[in-house]
Amino acid sequence: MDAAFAEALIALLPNLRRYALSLTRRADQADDLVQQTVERAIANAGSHDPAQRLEPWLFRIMRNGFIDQTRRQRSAGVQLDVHDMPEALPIDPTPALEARLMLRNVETAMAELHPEQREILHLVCVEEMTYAETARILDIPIGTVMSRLSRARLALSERLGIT
Amino acid sequence: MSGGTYTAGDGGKDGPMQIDDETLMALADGELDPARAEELRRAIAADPELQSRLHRFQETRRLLSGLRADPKGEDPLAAMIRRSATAAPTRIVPSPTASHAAGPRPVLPSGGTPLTAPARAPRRPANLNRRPWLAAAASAAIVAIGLGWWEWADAPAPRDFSPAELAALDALPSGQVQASDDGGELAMIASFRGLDGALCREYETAQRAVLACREAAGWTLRHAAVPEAAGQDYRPASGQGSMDDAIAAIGATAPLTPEEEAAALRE
Repeated sequence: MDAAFAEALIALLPNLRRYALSLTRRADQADDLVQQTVERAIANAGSHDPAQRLEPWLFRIMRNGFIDQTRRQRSAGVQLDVHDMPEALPIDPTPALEARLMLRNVETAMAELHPEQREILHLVCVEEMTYAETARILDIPIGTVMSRLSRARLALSERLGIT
Repeated sequence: MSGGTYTAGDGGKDGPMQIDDETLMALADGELDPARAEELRRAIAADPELQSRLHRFQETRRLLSGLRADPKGEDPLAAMIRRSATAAPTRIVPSPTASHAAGPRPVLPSGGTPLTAPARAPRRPANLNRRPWLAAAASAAIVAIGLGWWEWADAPAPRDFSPAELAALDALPSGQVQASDDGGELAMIASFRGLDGALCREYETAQRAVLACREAAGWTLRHAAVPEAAGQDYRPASGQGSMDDAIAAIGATAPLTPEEEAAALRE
């Protein structure tokens, strides 16, 4: 791994943390997942094609790691979900701000969506992956990306009362 | 971001009502080629219903982009990554934040003490102890295996046993490490008795984790898994199931004690 790769990786850490949280919805698991993804990315830096964007490559490593982890934990008992425990969320000190409230609404609505819908919304609308990149990350055809994403967008807009 | 040039929709027939949700979404997401996008915008400008449908896609995207918050300060992992860039190319650097923090190798106790887990039914012994060793060992394996860009093919595992592996199976006490043929190392994990009385042994190299049983014809491979990446875990090289399953399948109950193992190896 050269210094340029390292800096590119560092610059994307916030993106990795967001995606990890979106996948795991638990802060501790998200931290582990980011750590694991970074280690794998460093170990495999040589296999990243510099002509390709780094983000989707990293997201795919993370997603595969998450799937493995989930497989292993399937019998590890019920995992608590931070979104099922409102008191575990930080109290918003300035609830009067409409933007903050809307953001909170968006977070809540996202949390209530089916994980499959939440994931694709996150990749495209939060992380700004293209449809083609998303298809590669999720291992699905681009047509499936579009139909799934479109349904997810409509489901979200319904929850948020967007008409 | 600059999208692809996906050309969705119905081509020639541009009656306003023929524009489907996915096409409107692709427009909102900048995924249409410029000509098609322009054509659509003209149709939408003349149709309030299309405007309202497009609005839902634009608005969901705008709101979700709000979740892309700016980071506060530098990420705790940044320093670790920079250190890695100056270290050996494929070195895995332990971090204090890792739940599986890797330490320097080797950590397997020497002296022939099997790494026995507390008496539990078939169970991988030394599960906690092996990880740090793996983290280091796997860094070598990763170079060989590599990960294609979009291609995460399983690495082919060697089919049989190398001479060093056979020698280890015959004599290396559990808990000990020996040099393997490729310059890496082989760690003997534990020995078991199968239901049929056969001696079975579990070991790991940088390339794979193996369960082998001694039969009339010699050592037989019962299970082999290759590290998927960065020493996090092993994945079966073929077929389904984990090492735990493989150990359960031979009917083993608990790892042999050092005495039992030594006696079995003399057989």
